[in-house]
Amino acid sequence: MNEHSRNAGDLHELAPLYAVDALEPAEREEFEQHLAECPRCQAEVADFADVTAHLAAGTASTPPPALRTSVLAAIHGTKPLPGPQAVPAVVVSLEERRRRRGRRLLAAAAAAVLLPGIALGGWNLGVQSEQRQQEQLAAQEQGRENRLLAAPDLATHRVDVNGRPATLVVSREEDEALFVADSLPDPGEGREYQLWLLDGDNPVPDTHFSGGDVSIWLSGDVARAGAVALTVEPAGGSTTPTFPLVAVAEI
Amino acid sequence: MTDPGTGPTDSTAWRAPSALPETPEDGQGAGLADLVRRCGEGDESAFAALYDATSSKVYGLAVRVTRSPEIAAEVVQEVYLMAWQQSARFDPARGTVLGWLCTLAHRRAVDRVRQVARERDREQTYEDQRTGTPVDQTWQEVEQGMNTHEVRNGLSALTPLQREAVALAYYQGFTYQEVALRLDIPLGTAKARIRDGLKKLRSALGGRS
Repeated sequence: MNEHSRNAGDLHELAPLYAVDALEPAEREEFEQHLAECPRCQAEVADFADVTAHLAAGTASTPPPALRTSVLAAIHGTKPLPGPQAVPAVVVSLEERRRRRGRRLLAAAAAAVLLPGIALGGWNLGVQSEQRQQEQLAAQEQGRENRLLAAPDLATHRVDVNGRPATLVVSREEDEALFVADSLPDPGEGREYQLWLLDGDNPVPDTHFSGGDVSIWLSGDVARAGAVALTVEPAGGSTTPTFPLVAVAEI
Repeated sequence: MTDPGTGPTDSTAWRAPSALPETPEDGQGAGLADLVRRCGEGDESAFAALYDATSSKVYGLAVRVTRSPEIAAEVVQEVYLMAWQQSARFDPARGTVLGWLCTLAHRRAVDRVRQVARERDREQTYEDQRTGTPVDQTWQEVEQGMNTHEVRNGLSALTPLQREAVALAYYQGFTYQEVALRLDIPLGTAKARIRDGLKKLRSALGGRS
């Protein structure tokens, strides 16, 4: 068979083989390119995924309990990528963006550009090669940082966290804030750091995280906030801050 | 749900593929699709519930393909991290949650196996190790694990040659070229057996024929 002169009819026939990962690497690549533009094959692949899920059912086996702990820990305090429905945010006004707590939408706009997999719709994105996916995630994160760093009203605030320097990078215009620290001391057994956005006197709970090297986005309405505070809370975060404040920065 | 119509299992109504329903209407409280939707909103308890409901299948599949509990554990880590990250993009209209997770798991497991195989001397040690389990035995073990008679009926619809090819591809992670090599059959024949086998399974399970 000539690998380089395949027509679309041949490619359609590869859907079941793709679904069981039985294609050679070059063919897999070729089929994925085709898949991005072929609704028929997208439907076929999803269909065969359900068939293979039945095959997988026959192999079920209980994973070790420690695996559950580490899987849950891996996502703890992180946010999923924004959904594709947020993509039209590119054209909403600044006011509208703030009203809808613009951070997520803004990130989604970048994601729409940087994640071609969205064209596949739904979950096909997830089965692309890990390398490509990591590149996309890295590019997305980089794009977000670049926009923040390019913001005309960018401000940085140095704060001291139990003797370690940390930096808060803020742009009200972009409605974004990034908290960065190196070697943050362990907050203690069963405890986590938590950031708060102070809206007037009202502390709004934001992202929480453990010690170590930290680079984390605030998820709340930065544009409205007057200050950012840091506390130590029980793991999982709190809805009201536990005093004393570890650090506070007016923004 | 639709009547299978063309499949060999007309007498039985087709049911949701998993022990756990995809949607709440199927019974049993929150469905898997609903859990994924809540994950997309950052709900960590929904994620824990999703893991509890699906991890035995994802882990079992990863162990089957990689034949290593350690590598399988890494695969499971990666799969659920990806699932969390992409949960807001999951579209239930495009497929089931289990189909999604098993696809992610199979891809990751196969990639790991092939990576290891590349690193080792593929022709020698690793091939010997991977071929330790005869195909028939693999298939029998798997079949015993099947808990719905729809699936068993589906499998019985396959010819022995189709089963063999599907088992080699799916459970052992071989490409169709490797399947052809192992069975000493032409490439086109290996392709056709895998493809026709999966199509038969699909129609037996109530999908399109």
